Amino acid sequence: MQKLILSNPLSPGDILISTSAFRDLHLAYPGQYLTDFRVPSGCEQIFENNPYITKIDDNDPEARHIRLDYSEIHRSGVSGRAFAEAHTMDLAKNLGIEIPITKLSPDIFLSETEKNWPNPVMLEHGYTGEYWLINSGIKSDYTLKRWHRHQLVVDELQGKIQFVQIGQLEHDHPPLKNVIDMRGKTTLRQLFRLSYHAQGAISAVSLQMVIMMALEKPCVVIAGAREGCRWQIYPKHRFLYTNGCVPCAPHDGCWKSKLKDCVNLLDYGKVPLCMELIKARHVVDAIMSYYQGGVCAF
Amino acid sequence: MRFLNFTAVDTGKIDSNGKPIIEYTQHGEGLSGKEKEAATRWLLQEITMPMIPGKIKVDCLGVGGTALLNDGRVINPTDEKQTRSLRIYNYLQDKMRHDPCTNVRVFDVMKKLKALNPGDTYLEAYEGHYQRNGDKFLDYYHILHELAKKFSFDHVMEIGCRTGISICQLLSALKDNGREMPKTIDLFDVFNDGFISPMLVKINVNHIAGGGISQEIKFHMGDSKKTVPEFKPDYKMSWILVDGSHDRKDAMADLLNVEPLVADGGIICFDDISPEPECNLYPVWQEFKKGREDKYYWLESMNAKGFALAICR
Repeated sequence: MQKLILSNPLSPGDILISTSAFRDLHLAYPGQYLTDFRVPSGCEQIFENNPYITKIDDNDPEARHIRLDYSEIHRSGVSGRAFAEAHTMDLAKNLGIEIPITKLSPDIFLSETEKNWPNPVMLEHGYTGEYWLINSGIKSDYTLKRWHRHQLVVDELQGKIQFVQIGQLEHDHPPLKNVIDMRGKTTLRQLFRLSYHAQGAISAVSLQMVIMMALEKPCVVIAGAREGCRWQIYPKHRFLYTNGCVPCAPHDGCWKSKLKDCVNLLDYGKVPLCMELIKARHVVDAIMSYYQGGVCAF
Repeated sequence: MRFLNFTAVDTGKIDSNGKPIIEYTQHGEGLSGKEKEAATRWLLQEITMPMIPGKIKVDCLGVGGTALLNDGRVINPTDEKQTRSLRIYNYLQDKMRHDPCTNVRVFDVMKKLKALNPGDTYLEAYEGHYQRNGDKFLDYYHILHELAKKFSFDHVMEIGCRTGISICQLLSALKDNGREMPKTIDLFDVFNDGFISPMLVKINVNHIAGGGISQEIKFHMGDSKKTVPEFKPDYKMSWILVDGSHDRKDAMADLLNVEPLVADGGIICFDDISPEPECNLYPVWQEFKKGREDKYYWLESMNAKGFALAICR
């Protein structure tokens, strides 16, 4: 049995999506591999209850160390591949074997206690009704992901949908009005539980989007045109992209990260054109389509 | 000489309500009829004679005097401090055993909480203890229900309240027995595992006790080694549960830190003293007892998780 220590030093969203590689390897070659992971502190929570993980010592002479990568991203604008496939493809290449892709979503394994325990909104605020999560902020290294109309969506749906605002306080998450504030009040596992109990989420292309992929829950993704749309789109999600509508991202995404690098800024340099094209009503309609289609119910 | 000779005999028969039939005989010397009546009533109330099968004699030097039980215990009703601690001690002597009716009440509370929070597997763990120990199963939850039949608790605190099951047991017991709710409830916990929170405790307490009692709860969040010494109430506690960190040094620190807070006649309850895994705190309790033998009345049970009580004299 081969021992593999797979490392991924990136952000929680990237690490979460790489769990599909662990799964696909074990499903293709049951009993032939032992796998462990090395990730930044705090991200170990992603792998709690994951049946594909076995503790392997760093100094185990039989262990092979592989850094999980997703080099397919460089071809994503033309290949049409999904991010969820990329780590598996890279691992297959490293091991010199074929690993069939089993599904387009990563894995979160919640314990029965996590599923059945009252959700963190109830624990924090005593709120027991249905809710959607709203992730309206950005990390400082991806300022191009900001969309500017979240409050309008909240206002439009007030009385119909209760929103719960999430986000890490060390990132940029300005407070919204008329929402339940859970910013800075969740660990990763709590965020998973919060997401499990939510009806859906509004998010940029972010960790929250990947969590909703893993849990196979509705998510309205406000993407703009920063990334290749087929790279990030997930069937259960309403993926609002504007690739092809703007000259700066005529097919593939522009792949820029910072607002200052955007070549089509509006509103005195605050809003990228690709985001400006996404109106509040587009997001509201996307949310409502889950209700009209019967996946969600009031 | 003024005395009352009192005898209670459990006939072994059951009345139409399912209660044991106790036959009482008494005679007094130097007591008026009213005094004799009052002394008898006092004895019945204080010593819970009907709950003790067999035969017990009490010599009482009149109401307000000293009662000497035939097992050597002494009750002096004129000393309020001693009365409460001794009353509790004497009462619990006969309650440190499994009682099926009390057991039903304990599980009833837990099942109500389970319905509210299906993810909490504490009920299943507790059922496991019951299955393993059968009619010997005893926990401090049972003791709370027994205590509430006779005693009220005006100020209570807990270290390690978790989801609030313990405080729910206490409040449910008080409510069932028509007793007043505590004037103050101080709950200490770190609340940092992502599953428990003050809100959850409040929801559970309201579900069990109702009446907005949860509004009276004060939560003290953080390491009890810091929060308890910082806690300077202007009242003393009649019930203190110590069930926080099970690191032995921490547990001892908790015991030492609550000691100045216990009222005369108050109870310190220390959980998990049995040798079971994740318990095993008996050495801490033994250490705590050293030099305090005469300061408290001591009771212990090693059944299931095990618990110990120190009743402040």
